Amino acid sequence: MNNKFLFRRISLALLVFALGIAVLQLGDFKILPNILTVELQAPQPDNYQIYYDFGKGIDETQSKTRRLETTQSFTNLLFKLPTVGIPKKLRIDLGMQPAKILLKSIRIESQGRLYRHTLYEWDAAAILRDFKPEHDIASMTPEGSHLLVQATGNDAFLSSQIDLTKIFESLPKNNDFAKNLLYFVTALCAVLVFFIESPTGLTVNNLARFGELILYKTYADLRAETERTYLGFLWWIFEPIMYMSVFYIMFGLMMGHRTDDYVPFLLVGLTIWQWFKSCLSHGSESILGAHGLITQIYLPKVIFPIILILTDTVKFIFIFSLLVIFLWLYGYSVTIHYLALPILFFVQLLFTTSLTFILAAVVPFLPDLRFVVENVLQAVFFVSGVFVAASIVPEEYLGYYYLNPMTNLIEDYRNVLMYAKMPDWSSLLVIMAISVLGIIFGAYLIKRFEHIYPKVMP
Amino acid sequence: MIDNDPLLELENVGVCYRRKRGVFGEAFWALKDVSFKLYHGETLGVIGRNGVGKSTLLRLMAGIIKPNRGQFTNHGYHVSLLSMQLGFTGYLTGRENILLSGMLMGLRRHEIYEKMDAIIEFSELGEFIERPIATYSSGMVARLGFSIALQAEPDILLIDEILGVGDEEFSQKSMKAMRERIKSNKTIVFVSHNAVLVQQLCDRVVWIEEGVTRAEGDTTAVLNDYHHFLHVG
Repeated sequence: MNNKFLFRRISLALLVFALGIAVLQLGDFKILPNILTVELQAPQPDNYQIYYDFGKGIDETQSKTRRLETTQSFTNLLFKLPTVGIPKKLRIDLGMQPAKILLKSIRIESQGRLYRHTLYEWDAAAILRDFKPEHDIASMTPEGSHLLVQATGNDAFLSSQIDLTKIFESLPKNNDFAKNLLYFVTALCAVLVFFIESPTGLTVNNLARFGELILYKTYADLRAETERTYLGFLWWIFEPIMYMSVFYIMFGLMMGHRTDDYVPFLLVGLTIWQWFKSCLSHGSESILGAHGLITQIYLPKVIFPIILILTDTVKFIFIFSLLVIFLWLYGYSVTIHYLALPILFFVQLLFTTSLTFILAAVVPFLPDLRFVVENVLQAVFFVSGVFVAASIVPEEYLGYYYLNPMTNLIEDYRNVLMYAKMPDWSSLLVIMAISVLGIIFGAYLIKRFEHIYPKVMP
Repeated sequence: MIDNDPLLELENVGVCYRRKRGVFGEAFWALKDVSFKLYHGETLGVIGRNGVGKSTLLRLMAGIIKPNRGQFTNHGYHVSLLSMQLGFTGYLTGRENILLSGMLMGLRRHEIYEKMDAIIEFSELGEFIERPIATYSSGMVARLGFSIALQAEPDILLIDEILGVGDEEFSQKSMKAMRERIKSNKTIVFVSHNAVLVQQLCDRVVWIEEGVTRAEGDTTAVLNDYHHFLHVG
């Protein structure tokens, strides 16, 4: 008996590990240099500009400007690198006023949604070696770990003296950090699976029975809901239409977004958010709400959040279909990128499930948490990019901005539905890995307290 | 009739609840020290006054809760509580409620379909079975609830009192069906404070007082002790 269990655990753990490795092998972990960072300190706020020279000379269109605001400490100024072509030379304009500028480093970086890596760095000594003052600069002298640059005029700049293409070609091509992190997460999942045998209480033997129950209860809940109104399930269509109309009238007609894509932009975000929010707020109360049932009969408690998630997912399918129809009417068309939608649904479902499980496990002990959840959700709603695009977020904070999985997902949906772009696969993989871990943890919590819930006062 | 290997074993079992909301607050021991064994094919009576932890004991045996101390062993049997109107939903029809309730009790979908006609016939609901149960009278709901509950066939059935349900006629019918069920060769635990019913139906009796087993054994002997205790106390 014990050997059989051990065998099953080991094979399950190996299966999880193998699956994880397979997914990681397929995953795309290319790393592209996309940011040039200049770290400096200056006595007054000023505009700094980078010119990229592709061998055809300096050109205003191939330049980026950033403003330095703080004067008290060293600051990173982030300039976007050109997306096509590799520059041969760089010109760095150090503001428009004479000043003593402390230059610490110049870095080529890769910034993804979830990371910012330095791929190449010029420190003070390297800057002296590779860059030359060209105009309005009296001197460049090393001072500790930085360079003291004496800008004397209103057009001070320095230029690189070496062929940058060689440096760009020598940069690392793979994001090994992200990959190694995910290997670690996979291994952790496998270990967890080994130690928590069937964390849900659903075993191979009773899976069919409870699977049947979950599906029928979902159907019954939906049926009961439609029976409550005259129009029944038609409300699943009318309600989102009314909801969308309000936003169309409000933003499209009254606030003058008739021509740009703000209304579809907003509706995609709202629809996706609504699915997440309703699953979470309904699902977190599911075990607490099932108190009447679970004091009469033993049921694996994990089925209650699953039922609620399924119910809300069915309603979401209706809303999402309407959203897609609206997008077509608005002028967007079906693209090959729609193929990525099932993956997005899947990852979002995993993420939602992980949070719902954890909340559903804890809420029976702390019913007050429900109000906290509502308000936290409201707060997260405003920073999930439902109303605004990531482009208005300063580059310095993009890393934090993308820490929110919903921000990533909403942007991915928009890429697929509106901009004919594929989602950002590596961030999806990270969300998936974290969600799987969260689901296992949540299911473990629910299993752990399974026999305590019936004793807790509802 | 009684095998030597017990199906369920309780050894010095204690169960405590918390008086306040959640897991906090003062402990309150509903069961303190309960020990007995349940054997195959017997009808075991559990007798005691109100509020001595009989419901808690049933929940424990059904695997809904776990003991806080002592040892409870289920040797791999499906135990469930006879519960009427389990998971009943007002907006669903009688037929849909039969499916849902049956599934919650542990029946498979195809099993319920096989028993569907018998259930509907027993409930005497006729045409009403296709209507939402919110439109039923309370007697009709009770009849439906009983008819479904009767169909659950776990290895060990736990019964908390038997009360006739519905009108006079159906009450007689349901009492009779329940007695037949208990008298059959199934393993049953029957909890009651009605000594007459226990005397009629049970092979052995456990007497619980204040969460402690006071006596276990032959029905007549234990019931005599129980009566003696009631009159003295």
